[in-house]
Amino acid sequence: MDNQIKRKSLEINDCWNHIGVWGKETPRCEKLDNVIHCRNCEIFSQSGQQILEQPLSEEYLSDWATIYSNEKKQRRAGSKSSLVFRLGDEWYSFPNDAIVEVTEIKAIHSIPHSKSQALRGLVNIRGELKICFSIGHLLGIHKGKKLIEQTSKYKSYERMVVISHEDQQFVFPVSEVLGSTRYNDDDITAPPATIANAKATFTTGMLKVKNNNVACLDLGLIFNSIKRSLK
Amino acid sequence: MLYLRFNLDNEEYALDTSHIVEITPLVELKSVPKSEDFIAGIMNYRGTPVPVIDLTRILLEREFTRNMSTRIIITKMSDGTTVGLIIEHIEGMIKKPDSDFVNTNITSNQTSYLGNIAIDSKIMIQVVQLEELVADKLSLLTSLQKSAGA
Repeated sequence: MDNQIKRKSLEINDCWNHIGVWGKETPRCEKLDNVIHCRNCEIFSQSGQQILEQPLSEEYLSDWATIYSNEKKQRRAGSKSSLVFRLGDEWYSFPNDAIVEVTEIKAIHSIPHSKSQALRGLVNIRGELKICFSIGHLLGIHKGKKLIEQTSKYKSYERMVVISHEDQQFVFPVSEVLGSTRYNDDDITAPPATIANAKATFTTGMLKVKNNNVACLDLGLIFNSIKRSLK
Repeated sequence: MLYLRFNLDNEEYALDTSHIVEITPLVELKSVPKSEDFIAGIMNYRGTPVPVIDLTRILLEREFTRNMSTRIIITKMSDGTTVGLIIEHIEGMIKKPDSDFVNTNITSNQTSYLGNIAIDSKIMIQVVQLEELVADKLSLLTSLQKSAGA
């Protein structure tokens, strides 16, 4: 919106960009000793005042007239929220109300003679032993080539997520937690019909979060298959 | 109560925010020939024509200055009429209990819309009563809106 409004050039000595806090030139402004930051300085606020006291151009008036003659775009609040996490190269989400906590990776104590591959073992979460399972195994996905970790500018940290459903709690490790996201029901699109593997049955829909396609997982189905794998 | 505080020629005024819908920058206005001088024009506000009152004309008897800081306050009256008001030098919001505003007993038939006064760090702020102000000019405005809408 801002670039549509062409401001008339106004001569302002932007000392704050040279000898002030946003500049690196020496000698430094003497006033800084007193005011500490440029925004406390009267020259800075006077310049701001000067910009607001500027006469308007015809372009400014007509640009804003166009903007306000259009219908207001309603920003939707987003009535639901989900925790978005990554397994290998793919993004998934669980509804926020199922999430108990996200912690750092803890040692998994394996259970001897356990036949289930999804069951990883027991984890100590705040002094309570909780069952840890591999959600990737349930979904039939592997750690992948970790393309995201190689290309990302940021270092990602593995985490453990504690979820609860119908008074039962389970823990599962994830490659990365992106955070919580808000969405509306109509933001969710149906999962692609071509998905033939196990993933589709656990997915209730797809969500777009920061250019990532996030699969929303069905909590009830996941819990059922965990319970089945424990038997 | 939350008030919008503004400054017209070094006098402080406040508007009750409960009627305010939106604050927009100054836009191109359609002029209305032979209308009262406090009518600044008609604004295309999201597809509906809205009459715009020049508050500086009413309070200071001069035309508003076309500055970066000049704003149009879109207000909605309790009877559903939408009216724009041009004001200069918005200073921000103030939160003050109604009891802080004192009746000065200075009333004039011409300025019935000027309300009570509060003192905020030694500066006196007078409330401009929107409903009264608009009702004062309403007969003219309704006919204006009808002709604009037609």
